[in-house]
This record gives sequence, C-alpha cells and structure tokens, in this order.
Amino acid sequence: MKVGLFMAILALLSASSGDKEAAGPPLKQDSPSGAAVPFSRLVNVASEPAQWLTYSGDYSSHRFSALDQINRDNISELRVEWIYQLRRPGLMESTPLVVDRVMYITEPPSTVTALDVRSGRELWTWSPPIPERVLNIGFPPVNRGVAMLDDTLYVGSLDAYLYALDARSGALRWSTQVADNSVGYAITAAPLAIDGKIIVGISGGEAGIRGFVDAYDATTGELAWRFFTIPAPGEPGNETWGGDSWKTGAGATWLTGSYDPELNLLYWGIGNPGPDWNGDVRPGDNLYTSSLVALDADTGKLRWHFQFTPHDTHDWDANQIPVLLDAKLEGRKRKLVAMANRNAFFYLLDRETGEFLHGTPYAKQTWADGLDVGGRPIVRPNTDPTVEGTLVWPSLQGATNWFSPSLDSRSGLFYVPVREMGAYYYKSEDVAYEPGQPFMAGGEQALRGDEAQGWIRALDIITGKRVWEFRLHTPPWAGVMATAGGLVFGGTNEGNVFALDSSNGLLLWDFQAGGGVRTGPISFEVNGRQLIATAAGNALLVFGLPTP
Amino acid sequence: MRKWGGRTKIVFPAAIGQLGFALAILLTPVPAPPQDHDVGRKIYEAQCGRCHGIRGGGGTGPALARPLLPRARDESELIAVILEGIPATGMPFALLSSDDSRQLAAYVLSMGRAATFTVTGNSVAGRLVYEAEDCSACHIVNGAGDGVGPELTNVGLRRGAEYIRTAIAHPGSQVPLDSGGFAEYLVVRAITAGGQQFVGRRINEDTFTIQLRTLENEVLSFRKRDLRELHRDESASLMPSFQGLLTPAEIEDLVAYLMSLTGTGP
Repeated sequence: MKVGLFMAILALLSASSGDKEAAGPPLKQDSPSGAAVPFSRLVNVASEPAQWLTYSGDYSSHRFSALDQINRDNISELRVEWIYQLRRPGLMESTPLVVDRVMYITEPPSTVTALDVRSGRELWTWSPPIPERVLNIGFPPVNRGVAMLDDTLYVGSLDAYLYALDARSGALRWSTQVADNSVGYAITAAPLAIDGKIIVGISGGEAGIRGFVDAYDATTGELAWRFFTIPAPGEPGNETWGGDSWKTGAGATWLTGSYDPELNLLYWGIGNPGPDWNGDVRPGDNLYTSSLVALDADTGKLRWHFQFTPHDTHDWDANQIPVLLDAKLEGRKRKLVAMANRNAFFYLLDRETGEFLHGTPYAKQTWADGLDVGGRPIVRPNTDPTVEGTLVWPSLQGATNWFSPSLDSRSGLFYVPVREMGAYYYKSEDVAYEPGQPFMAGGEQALRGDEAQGWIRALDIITGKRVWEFRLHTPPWAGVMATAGGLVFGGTNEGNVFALDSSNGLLLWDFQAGGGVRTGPISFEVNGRQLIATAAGNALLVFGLPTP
Repeated sequence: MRKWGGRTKIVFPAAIGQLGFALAILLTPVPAPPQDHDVGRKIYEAQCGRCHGIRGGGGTGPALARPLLPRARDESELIAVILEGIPATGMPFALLSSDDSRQLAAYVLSMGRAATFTVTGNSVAGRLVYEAEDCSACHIVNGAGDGVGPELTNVGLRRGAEYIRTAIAHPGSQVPLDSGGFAEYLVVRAITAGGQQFVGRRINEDTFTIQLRTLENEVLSFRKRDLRELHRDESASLMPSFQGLLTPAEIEDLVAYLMSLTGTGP
C-alpha cells in the first residue's frame, strides 16, 4: 500500500537525518486519509483531552481542559512555543479547534486557516468573497471560530453565508446564504455541529432584524429547520409585542450555544430587543429577547424559555455561554443549566423544564432589587434610559459578555470574567426603522478608565456565591479556561496572558503579549506535550513547558 | 462646502512692554441654520453614540469630544473617516448622503470645541514669566525643555484659557483623561517590599505592572507583586501651585503666553 511505503521511507529518513529534536514517532495519521470528527467523537470529548473539537471544548460548554501536565508546580516555566500572525490586522476573537495535530482558526473577517500544531506553519487558508460594503452594525468585523463534523469544516461569514470546507485541503464543498446582509444580518459566531446538522446563529440585534436559529443538513447544506426568536402574530409570545414592533424585534442569536445529546436539546442565548434603548415603541415583555431557549434539535421547536430581562432597555443580550451540568440538589439528581448573564445576575435553571432554581448578582448592579420566586427581576424605578441620561450599573456591555466562562466540575467552581462598569444610558425619540441602518434609539456614556474595573470571579456553581476574585486593570474582553492542572488561564486588554491558581486566585504566571486579548484560551496535547493557545493582538500564541 | 473655524487667532501688539489690553476672542462655528445642527446630532445619536458615547465621551470607541482628533484633523478628513470607516477596527463606514455626512462631521467637531474664552494678559511678558519660573524643567515647548509634564508646544490649541488658568493655580484639580478614559499625569506613590518609597506620575499600567515618571525625569517600572503598597492620588499633581508665587497679573500674562502656543504638534 502506498501509505505503508511512504511510512517506511519516512522512518528511514528520520533515522538518518540527525534531527536534534527529541526522537518521536513520525507523525502518523489516525486514518489513512487524515483526521475526521464523527458525531461520536463530539459526544465523547471527555475521552480525548488532547483535542479541542468544538468551540466551547464540549457540548456542555465547560471550556475546561482535563490535561494536567502543566500545573501549579511547573507553570512558572511556561514559555512561547510558536506564534502565528494574522494575515490582516484586525480584532482576533476566534477560538481555535485542534483535531489530530491540525489547528483550525478563523481570522477577521471570515478567513479559515489550518496550521500544523508542531511547527505553527500554515497548511492552507481560505477566504470567502465578502463585499467591500458589508454591513456589521453594532459590532466589529470578527469571526469566533469553525465547527467540524466528519471531515468538513463549517464557518459563517460576515455577510451571512454558511460555508462548508474540506478540512484537509480547504476546498469549498458547498455554501448557502443564511440571511440578507443588506438589512443587517451577519454571522460572527462559530457554528455548532451535532448529528448530521450544523446549527447557526446570526447577528444584527442593532439593525431591527427578526432573529432566528438555523439548522442545516451537514452534507447538503439544505435548511433543516428555522426557529424564529420573535414570534409572529398567532404564535405564542407575539402578544408580548405591542402593535407591529415584533417585525423589527431583533433577538439575535450571535453566540454558540450548548447541546445535551441525551435530552436532544439545544440551549441558545437570545439577544436584545430592538430598538435597544427606547422600549416605549415595543410595549410588553418582548419574548424571546434577552432569554435562554431550549430547542428540540430535530425540529427546532421550542421546548422551554426563560427570560432574564423582560422588556430590556439596556442592550442586555443573553448571548452568554449556557453551561450545562448535573448535580444533586436537595438529595435529588438534577440536570441544570447555569448562566452568568449580562444583566449582572447569575442564574441556575433546570435544563429539562426551564424551571428557575435561583439567581444572585455576581457583579455590581443598580437596576434591580433582586429576582422574584420565578426569577423575574424586581426592577427599580428610574433605571430606564432617559433623554437626559440615567446612571446604571452594569453598562450596556454588561457585567460579562460573549467571552467564555469556565467550569471545573470537579470542584464546582465557575470562573467568570467580570466587567464592573457603570454608564449613563440615553434614550432617543428617533425611532424610525430603515432597513440596513442602525435601529437603536439611544446610546450610553460609560464610566471608563480608573472608574471601571475588571475581575476574574470564582463562583460556587450551585449557589453563585463568590469564592475568590482577582482584580484586572480594565473590564475584560477575554474568556477564561480552567484546567485539571489547577490553573485558570485568562487574558487582558493590555496584552497580559496569565494563569491563576484555580483554588484561590493567586497569580502563578503572566506574560506580556503586546496586544489585547479578545478571546478565550484552549489547551491540547501534541506528542505527549500539553500546550496552551490564545490569541492576543494580531497573533495566535502557543505556550508550552520547556522540553526536558 | 463651508469650512468650520477651527483655529484661534490672537493678535499681538508689536511693541514689547505694552500691557493690559483685553482681547475677547469668540470661537464659534460658522453660523448654521439650527436645524442643520439637529440633523447632525440626530445622526450621531442614532449611529455613533453607541460606541463613541452619546456625548462623545468614548466607550468601546474613542472619545470624540476633544479639540484634536488624531485621524481627522479637519472637516474633510472627518467626512472621509465617516464615509469610509477605518479598516480592521470597529469603525464601520456610514451610509450617508454627502449633505448628512457634512452635518454629522460638523456636529462631531462641535463637540470638541471650546465655547468662548477671554485672555487679558500679555503673551510676551508671559514668556518672561515662563522662563523666570523655570517651567522648562518639566515642560517642553518647541523642542526646548524637559518632558516630565505635558508638552506645551500646542497647548493653546488643545486646552482653553480657563483650563490653563486653573492648571497654574490648582494643578491637581483638573484631571485630563486619555483616549482610554484614564487619568493622565496621575500621581502614584509606590512602596516596595523593602520599604523604599517612590513618587511619580503614571505613564502606563496594566494588571501586573505600572510605569512611572519621576520629577527627575526618570522612568520607574514595577511589577505590582513586588510592591507593598500602591497609592493613587487623584487630586494631586507633581506640578506645584503657582498661585502664591505669582501675582494675578503675572498669571494672566503666563496664560496669554501659553494660549499663544499653537505650534505644529502631533
């Protein structure tokens, strides 16, 4: 067989080359034609801690690495292994996938690049054709990552197309238009691959779109189902929109959700209602904006919803990571979902029924006196935006945002990057909708600089109680990752990459990367060595311990 | 296309020694019909306020309510930025008619402009005060001096007379903010684990390190974990107050001199 001959020649060459590198076995593929990620691998990521197969690490979105070769005792020796610099300068918010020694990243605005993880060298790159006048209303031109299923990569483009690429060569398999960018739809989120289907969320919450979650057949690219986040007349929930305001209700779905393969439910966060800061023109609770929904993965039908911020007027999207976990509550085993929400409350819900179990603030907030028994906020008077400006904590960017938290399910500690910043919220009476134009009706003036703070907070995942906190110079835009080595990795706007002791928040290691960190770290293993990857500035950095 | 006035013009007496004339300088935009300003404001609030702050104070985007915009030094440059965006940043292009883009640019420029100010001193005499007080020990003007404190080469463009007057008398009372919203020239007192104390103004800071410049124009760089204490004094300044040291007339002359500094700076 050709492969056998090739391997024999390779063995001969490496034996005689006098390579100074530690002699490892030649890089062999797990299958003759290369790596593949069937659905079974995605369900069983726990058995493969050396890989990073999906955006949040696993379907439960713990963003946790079970690798412990890098740990509290040796982290001080961590150093840069290699760096990849982006092809075009821009904001790097991508989480890489690592599949059998190949790293797949996305680069702004929607480029996919495959890198050899041993050397950091590019294997191939692919960019979709994006019109020069592409609309990205209310967010920068970023992409947060790919999904992989079998031997195909899936990426969403800024102009709202879904592309399927051959993972080995980067060749296009198929493409499909998800939505019309000219009215403000875009894709920035990494898609989610489940059995035979690719789940895609869209952006456009500041453009008066009607939001949805889509599922596409992974092989053909045909639309399998669409769940609209804003119900139409006759559908339950439409009565929570006065008049025709549902038509421009927004409810974008712009962050990769979670999946329970046993319950076969998708958990997806839904964004703010439009227009953002003038709620007068959309009286009612505005379902299902600023909510978490559970969708039947086969049909897209709504199983349950929970709304964090009814009639939101602060742009408090619920596009944060829904973290799935099982735990015993009052002696009974429960299936749960937790979210540190943008509105500064931490929530624990039953993920089978959506039942609210409890919630508590995890950051400074001045808009609610707490949550009632059903989890509905008890809103304080005079906290809505006004023409003159109203000071509220948190700011519109929230007490946390899209960037990943991390759960160490062994200790039950939930690590959240926190933005503690207030803002003056302004309401504008200018509420005319125009397709493809911003539809926000207001804005904010944030209290920045020395008046704002960032934190990494460790919460008890069941009670939401703060166990420890670590102060950051500014409210972060970076996610965190906890590891079995007892570490929490994170990044800062000022270019610091750092590792804390996950049990007490003490700083164990830091590195100045020279550019702001705007994404979350991952960890993987190559030839028996654990590596950490994170982007900073216009680069992707990979760190490892010195080789013995 | 109307050009908005963007520069002050101060006319000096020809002869040295002439004192006590009063100049009232009005710096206002070329008058526009009220509704034009409203158009610009409405567009700003609808499309720009979310990132640049509803009053131009900044947010995820930089503050615009300042006299000099680094990427748009005049109205035509600003219109170009509005219509083209800034590639690879969060600043998108705006789909606006040329009329609307002009109104928007005018409104943005108006946010950074000082309204009116009065200068009563003599700038030539003020220069003598500047030299007598040895201001160049901490300030650079047109390349001369030491840069412990802010460079003053074009301070007459960047600050108003009232601001300068206050800075001379009560230096710690005004806190200019940088584009990230951080206090510039913040006074910091650092005490090391060994008990040594250092005082300087903050140059830069991150979660783990802080860099200071001392009165001796030296740069100190600390890792915060090596410090026992780190104090930030928001109402202090490394600059001494000149209120008791100069007469009111001398202060007015100094203000006039500084307001005359409109040289080419970055």
